[in-house]
Amino acid sequence: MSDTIDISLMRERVETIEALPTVPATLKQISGMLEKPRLSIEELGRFIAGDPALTSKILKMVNSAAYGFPNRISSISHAIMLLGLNVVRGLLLGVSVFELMRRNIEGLWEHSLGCAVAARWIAQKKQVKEPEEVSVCGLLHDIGKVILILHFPEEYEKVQAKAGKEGITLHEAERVFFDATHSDVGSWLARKWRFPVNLVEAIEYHHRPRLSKSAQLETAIVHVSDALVHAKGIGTAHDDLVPAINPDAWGLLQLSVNDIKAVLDELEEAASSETEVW
Amino acid sequence: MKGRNLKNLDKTRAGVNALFGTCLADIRRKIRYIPNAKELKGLRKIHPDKLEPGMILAKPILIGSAVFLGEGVVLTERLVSRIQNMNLDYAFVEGRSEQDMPLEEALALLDHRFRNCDGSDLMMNIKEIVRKHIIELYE
Ligand SMILES: [Fe+2]
Ligand SMILES: [Fe+2]
Repeated sequence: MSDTIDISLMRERVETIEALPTVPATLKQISGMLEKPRLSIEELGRFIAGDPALTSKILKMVNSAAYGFPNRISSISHAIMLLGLNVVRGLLLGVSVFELMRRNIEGLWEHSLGCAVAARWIAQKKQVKEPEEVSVCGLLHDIGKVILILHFPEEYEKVQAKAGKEGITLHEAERVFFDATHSDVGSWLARKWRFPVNLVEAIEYHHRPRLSKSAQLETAIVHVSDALVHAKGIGTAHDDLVPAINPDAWGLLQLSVNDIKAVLDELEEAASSETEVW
Repeated sequence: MKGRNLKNLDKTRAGVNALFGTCLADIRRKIRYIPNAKELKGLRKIHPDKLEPGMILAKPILIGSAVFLGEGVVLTERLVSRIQNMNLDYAFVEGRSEQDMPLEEALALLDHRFRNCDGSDLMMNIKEIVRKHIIELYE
């Protein structure tokens, strides 16, 4: 009992991410900026352009297989124009948060990039209007894991140990130690950062896609992408079990054998490419 | 006289530090690897934090265009910590990457990943597609 952490306390801690001593200054600035109710394109562009390292990382991402504009986007303003404000906001967050955590959760970065690639492929196949937004959902779907590790490093170690020992997924093990899981935590932040509702729901329900109300398709895509990336064995160092795919979500997507093959090929190509984001 | 010199020396030192400081930052920005996609197979791309003494560099580490450590260099504890101070994103060392493991090993890992999915036809179908995909990678 003493091991579980009260949900309201947890939410409060997570939502004050700026106060974390381990979060670097740029991330604090980013977090503050993402909360602004009316963030203009110019403002976001100026902020990113002011940081050359951030700029190059974001440009590498948009020119990688996950976003499908190989070597065509050369500036942040061009990226915002082509991809939209929400996508670039998501990338900014993904790049800065996951870069920070690359050494702490082995494989999570690769897993997230893999999901971005798979989600984009499936979204295009399903003729979703903004496949890049779904790709960002894939990139950020497990962001709650990062936040949990930052806030509860010791507890999360126990979660990981339990998952490994008992052969259950991290998501299942989290429930034992916390009142909430990384999908809840991720959705609290996505809301706080004013992400669009489809992104919030895809993060919140990527392990329980049936609960999604207003973004069923996007959530199903992220849910299935997550499982396929696990199945392919990309970034499994931190969580090696393939999560079971929900039959309703699967039914919604109607993917053929050839579609799955194509996603696996896409993942193989992206992972073995020389792009530095991998 | 002596005092004035010392003052100047301090000034010089401050100046050199300032200059050297920006140079260092500049150098740090320019240090990078030049990976060759064709050669990536058989190498392991790892985060500098994961480097260990005894590992062999499979790609040189460059500072600007000059080679800092050449290919084939066996890492010592001192080299590992120097590389780790260089702020690199990754390094290439010799060794088998996942793709280079024997097929049997890759398939055993696949079984392991799907170990909880035995009861589900859907998951078993997907596993079968992935199994064929893996076998094709080895052909
Ligand atoms: Fe997850
Ligand atoms: Fe995931």
